[in-house]
Amino acid sequence: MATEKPHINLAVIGHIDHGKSTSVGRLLFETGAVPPHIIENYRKEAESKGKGSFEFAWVMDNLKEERERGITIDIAHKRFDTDKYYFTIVDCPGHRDFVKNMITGASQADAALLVVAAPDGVMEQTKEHVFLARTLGITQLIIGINKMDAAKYDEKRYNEVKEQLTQLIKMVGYNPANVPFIPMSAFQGDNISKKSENTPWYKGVTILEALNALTEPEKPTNLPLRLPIQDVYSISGIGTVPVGRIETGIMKKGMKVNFMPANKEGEVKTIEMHHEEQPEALPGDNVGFNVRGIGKGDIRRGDVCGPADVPPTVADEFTAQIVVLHHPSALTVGYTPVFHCHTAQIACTFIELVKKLDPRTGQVKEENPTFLKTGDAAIVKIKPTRPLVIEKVKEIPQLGRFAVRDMGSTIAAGMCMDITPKQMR
Amino acid sequence: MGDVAIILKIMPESPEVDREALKAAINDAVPVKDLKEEPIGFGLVALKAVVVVPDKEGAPDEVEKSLRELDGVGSAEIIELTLM
Repeated sequence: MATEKPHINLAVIGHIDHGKSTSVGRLLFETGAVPPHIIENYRKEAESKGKGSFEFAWVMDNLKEERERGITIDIAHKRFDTDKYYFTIVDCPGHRDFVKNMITGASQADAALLVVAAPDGVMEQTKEHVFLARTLGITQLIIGINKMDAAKYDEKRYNEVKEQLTQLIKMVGYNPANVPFIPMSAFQGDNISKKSENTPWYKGVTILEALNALTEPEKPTNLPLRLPIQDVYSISGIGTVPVGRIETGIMKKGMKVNFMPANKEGEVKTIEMHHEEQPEALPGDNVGFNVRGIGKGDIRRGDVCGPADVPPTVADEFTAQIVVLHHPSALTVGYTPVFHCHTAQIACTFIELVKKLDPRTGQVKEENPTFLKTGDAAIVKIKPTRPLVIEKVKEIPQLGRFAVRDMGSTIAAGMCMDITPKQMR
Repeated sequence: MGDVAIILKIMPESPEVDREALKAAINDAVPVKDLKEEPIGFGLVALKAVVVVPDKEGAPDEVEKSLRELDGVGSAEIIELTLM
């Protein structure tokens, strides 16, 4: 699907039943991304049943059925266009498996639309998702205060929810002045593509205007090369071929590279993508490359390739900010779950709980807490049980985030703030 | 509450793996909705699959696991995941 417009990956987040899916459906509908035959049937149904009695839910149901019948790789993500951008939507599932994927997967979200139902206000998952969005490095946030129709389009209620949200997002580090708070009804279509007559007191932007005002993500080509290895092959007549996706920087033919923690150096002889030789490869490219000086057994999945003069950082220990998403009891010093960071999966030990942050105020709630539980945000010290490449989130964000998993559950998400590097040379 | 669509990238153990047989095995192992080839280089071809499973914790992991256990699969990993 060729398009000249810049692309933005939009995560839709929020508490269960606050109207995420309806909001997505409404965006598709208003931007013309719903197939014409569904719209045509919608019109016919609306005419036969009389306006008013006929509901948007019908479009939602039909869209869902259509997707279930004919989903393909190319349309697995819902997409729509505004005047300025082309969006794909990551509609976050209700369980927490999506967290690991948003950290290690192919499409990190560039912006988030947080949906909060006006009658309910801020709920548990609203908080969790706001924390997560920040931890995942989503800097651009749009808030839709949804179901305004169920709150009688009451300005007072809008202001109450807006105030709750202002406190919440401020504490995780968003500047509320840069975040639009839009009273909307996904169901009725208020303030989605045009200003609603039902909210004459609201002078701000619509959802589509807010989406158009987002900033286009830049490809991180100015950072040093980082390519986490997915697989390593030994190909007859060619030699060792690692395969992976470039996260940051540029890989060039002839470049001297270093693989960490293997601590092996080599030279990039050829780069191939789509079975064609490439002189260079950029962030997002899935490549195979042939390296001189490296044997298949020298490197493996989880190793990271970088330039020989700026090799990937191997952590002896690191300090991280985490948010505990789900732990059946309490997380204490000595706990050693599996950390998923780029393509690496390595057991790491919590060696110090430095401080606990209060999710309600953002202030330090407790120095050296004895345990952490679900919903806590904290600064902690971590020691990998095997060498692990990780970078400070401030320097190379793409390699600074991780998901913590144990017994098939996602326990926490976090970002690396500081590193005590392991001397490799 | 609904279903999730998962996109997986499956790498063969080597360029010599019979792709048609591998595709058939993948189709038998998990509820595949779409499966296509993505050439990488040096004769290596990744397979990309869309699999739809119920939105419940652990379901995506199960899919990954059953694909990894297939003969000829070098690696299988979820690259994208979204509600239907």
